[in-house]
Amino acid sequence: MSEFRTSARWRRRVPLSAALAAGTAVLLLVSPAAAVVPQAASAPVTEIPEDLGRLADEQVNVVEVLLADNDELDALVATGVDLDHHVHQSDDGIVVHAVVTGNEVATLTAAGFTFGEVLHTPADSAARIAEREATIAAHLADNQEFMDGGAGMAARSAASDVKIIRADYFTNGTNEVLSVEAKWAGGQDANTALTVQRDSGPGTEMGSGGTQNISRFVDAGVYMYHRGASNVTSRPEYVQITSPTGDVAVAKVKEWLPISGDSPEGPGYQKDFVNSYLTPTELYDRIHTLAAQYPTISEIVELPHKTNGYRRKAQAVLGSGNANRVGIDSLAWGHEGGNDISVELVNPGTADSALTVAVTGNDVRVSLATDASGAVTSTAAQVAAALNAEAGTLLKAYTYRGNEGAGVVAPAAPTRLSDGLSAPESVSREPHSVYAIRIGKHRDGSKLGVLAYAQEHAREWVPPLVTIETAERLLRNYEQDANTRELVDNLDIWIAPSVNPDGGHFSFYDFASQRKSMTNHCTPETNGDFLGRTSWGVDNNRNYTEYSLFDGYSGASHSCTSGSYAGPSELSEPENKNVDWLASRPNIKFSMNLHSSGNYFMWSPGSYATPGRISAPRPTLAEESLFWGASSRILTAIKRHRNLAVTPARTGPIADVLYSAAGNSGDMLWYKYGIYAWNFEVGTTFQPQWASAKEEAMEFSNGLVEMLRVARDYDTDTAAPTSTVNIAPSATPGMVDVTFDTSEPAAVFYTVDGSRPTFESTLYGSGGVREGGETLTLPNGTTLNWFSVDSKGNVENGYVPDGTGTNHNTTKAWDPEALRVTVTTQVRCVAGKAYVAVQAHNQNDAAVSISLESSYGTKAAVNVAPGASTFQQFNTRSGTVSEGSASAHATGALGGETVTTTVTKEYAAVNCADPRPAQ
Amino acid sequence: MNTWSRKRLLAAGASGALLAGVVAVGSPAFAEPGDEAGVEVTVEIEEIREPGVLAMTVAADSVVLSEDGSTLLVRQFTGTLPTVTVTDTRTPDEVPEGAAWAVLGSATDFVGDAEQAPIGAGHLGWKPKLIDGGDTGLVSEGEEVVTVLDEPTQPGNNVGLVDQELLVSTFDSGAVTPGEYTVDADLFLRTPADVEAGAYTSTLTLSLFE
Repeated sequence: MSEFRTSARWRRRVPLSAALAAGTAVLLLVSPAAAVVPQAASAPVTEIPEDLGRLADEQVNVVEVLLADNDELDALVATGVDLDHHVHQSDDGIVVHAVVTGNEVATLTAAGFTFGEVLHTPADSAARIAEREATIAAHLADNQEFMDGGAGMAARSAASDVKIIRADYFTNGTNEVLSVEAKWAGGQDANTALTVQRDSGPGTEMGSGGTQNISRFVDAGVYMYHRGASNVTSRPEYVQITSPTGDVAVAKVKEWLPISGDSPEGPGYQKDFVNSYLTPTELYDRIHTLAAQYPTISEIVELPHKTNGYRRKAQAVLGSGNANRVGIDSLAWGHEGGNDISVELVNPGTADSALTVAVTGNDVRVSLATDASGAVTSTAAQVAAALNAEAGTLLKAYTYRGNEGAGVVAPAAPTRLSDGLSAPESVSREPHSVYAIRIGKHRDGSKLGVLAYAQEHAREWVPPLVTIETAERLLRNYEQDANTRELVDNLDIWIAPSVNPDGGHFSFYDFASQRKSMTNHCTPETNGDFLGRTSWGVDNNRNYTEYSLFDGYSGASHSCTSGSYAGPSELSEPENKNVDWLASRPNIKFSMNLHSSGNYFMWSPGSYATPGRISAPRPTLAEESLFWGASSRILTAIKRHRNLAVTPARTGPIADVLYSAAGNSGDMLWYKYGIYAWNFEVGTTFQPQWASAKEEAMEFSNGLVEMLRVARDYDTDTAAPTSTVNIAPSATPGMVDVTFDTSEPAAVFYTVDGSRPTFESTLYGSGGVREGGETLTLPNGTTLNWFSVDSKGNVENGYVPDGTGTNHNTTKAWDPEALRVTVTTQVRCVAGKAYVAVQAHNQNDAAVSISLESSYGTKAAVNVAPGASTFQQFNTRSGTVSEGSASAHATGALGGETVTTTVTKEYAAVNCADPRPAQ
Repeated sequence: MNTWSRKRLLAAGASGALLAGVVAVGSPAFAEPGDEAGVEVTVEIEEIREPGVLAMTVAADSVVLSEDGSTLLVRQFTGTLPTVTVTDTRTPDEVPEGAAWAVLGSATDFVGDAEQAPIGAGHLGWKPKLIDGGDTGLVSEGEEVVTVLDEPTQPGNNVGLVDQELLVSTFDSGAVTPGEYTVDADLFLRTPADVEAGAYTSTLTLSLFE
């Protein structure tokens, strides 16, 4: 399924998958038993079971794994263990963060892996939840107190149910803007805008400056305040709000200090719209509210595929040993009656009793068989069979994980089956709709599309907030901020805050470390029982179509309990079908896949095959130049928030800076749809303390908005780049160091043999955050022909690379500190004897004196005219010559001084008895 | 590597007080590419499609060496190789990529006319002199070759004209065509002082390669 995008004009690539297939075919001819799917390098030793042994009642921690090198990393990834997005390379090796239970640690330790410190425990997640609940409760309490007119609200105007929090006046270019925040006691329940009256300066009448509406802002279901900004024609002295109940608040207007001019956020730019972690239900509520509030520039889109739902069958596992355990699943979903079923295993207390099952309503009573002495004799297999036979309309019973079930069961008190789900009823148990908010003045596909999507991984709670913060900024700044208007008027922005709502709910309410979807693809034989329920689900970032596990790439698993389970087939999951649908909107050209954590900023290729780390095709450096160029802008925007930098080591292709992730969404968007697809890894842990989470949301929202600006600039880019070449002496004698600069992110194609540069020519290693511009070390005097082209395909100077014109750039790369002499050597065979021919060409404007030197003789200095040469064919008097070098020593005037420049040139070995051509 | 033409001329050395004039065997004064030893085959080659040719001429077919500069230990006989002209009338397009022509020379032993012991070719040396190499600097004479009685003046060059030695060559035929290039060489025969007197004859063969 690995297709290649064809939009870029200069690309001619050989599909790698086809090449792999061919390679496999060859292997098969040699050895029919050869594995078709590349296997992980065998760094650690013992065979590792498909399932790592996690049980649902085990505590899950984030623990360091200490690895020697990339081979060990690939081997670890191949176990399918749940890895957080963190790869720290140091001199001592690599440290990654695994999300594992004690059983999993034991399995991996036995396999030779070494664990380090425990970084995050369920208690930490519980603390985050508690913090969130406390925050929400505190806001609600504040609202209640305010509504009640409590004494704590000292700042509240006497007897008024409305309070003006702040009123800021500022100028934005030539615009004058007034921003007002106010809190109204009825704001928790009534969706009513507030009207702000303005005076028109000191001593003027209230209302003489006009009015503006400010709208309600709700976060996590909690009313925060009303907020809004408008253009004004004069600086008001006071503003006044009359609440819907008739209460009045008045506040003095303050001047907002202007901020430095290089920020794209003008003065009064509104941000900071998230106040607690948000569940998927709350995320969807939030965007619905926003779309309702800004109907002309946004709308809600329900994605075509509903999820499988936050729901499970009710289950129990009776017994304590593998041989005598009986697993039971309800046929109905837990919330649709499964949770009401109970099962009891009873010792009848009489000898020679038969195994019987009685069903009374939802209560199932199994009377176990006994022998002549009254001892219970029913085995797990027999009990399961009896349950299926007698209670098969209610439940399904099975022996434990494929065990024969020959062990005699123990009696069990009535046990209620459970779906293990504890979210409140406000969280739907039905297949869940997945929503995106589409922001743009023109949402008809005519504008350049940009997609941001978050929470492929359920436990990553910060990335959805980045999308919400960004949507809020776009909508709430639209009216008064021209830069925002530019984006909203000209882009078609799709924001999907949670693509995995079921997993998200499970993470919030049941199992904080949940990474995958809710959907269970395990069977009773493969951990589909109650004890396996925290291992289920599909890794939504491994179920896509390009360079996937199913294509033979690394970093995903076929095991239904693996942290990186790829699912039964490509795009098998509704979550992934939705992302595919979003990506297939034909106008989308840029995307951001928001994850956490690790502070990474990445792009394709995102997977490779092991051994050998054969990656998916890399973007041409022409394309990568846009990735790099845009990255520096986006990362600068992120850093602007609190000066936290995404480090260069964490910027670049996923496969380089993280680890292989076969079938990830970024690769699908890039390779299948030609979308410039980025991946953020937000923040430092997946559930940081709120203070950190908020900062992360703020800073990565900066980055996401900057990506929109990149997209807009891309759309309006009709200017061709220009380029310059820098030539400096090289540390290697006779060579020069050459670098190129471009006026904007652009690729440089060059030749060094005098030929016309084309899109097939060598691509200059793009400058970027991580590597900087490539330095070419070339022989002094090399003729360089080149052109630059930006990611829109604008070519420098109107040059047509696949045409016949010669209006490309050209220069000779001369060392500025040396005489311009080029030396050419040849070994020749004449009449069976080898000669070393040495030629030195004077490319200076004046005559220089040049002597030639070789192992086979010297030629004394001769005066060589400009443009002329000196030459000698040195006789080796032998039929063979081994490789060596010859030199020219040129002496002449340079910059008013007499200098001597020596140019040495290698020559090859030759054997004149060999029939092959000497050269 | 093709041998395009080959010319021979006789060099005669006279030893003792006697000056002996010895004449070379007549070989064609003009040879076309592919011509070997002045015999046959010329017609077919002349029907070559390209109008231009690369050819070599030698101004005379013999040279007499006369005693000059002898010492108590070494007797020396010198002369000048008749001017060798390499003419290339091809256009650069007609020259194969990377081709470079060269003229090589080697001599036979000097054979006495009266049963004297021969004088080995290693006793005959030369110092090529470029007369007209054009102004590109891409045509150069070969290096000096001294005799077995001398110390080397370049690495290993005290071997005489036993084997093929370089008279003149170009770095790149295509860069120097069309053109006419001339070269001669100082010839010197150096023998022990006790060499037997008499007339001696050697044949110096010049070959044009490309």
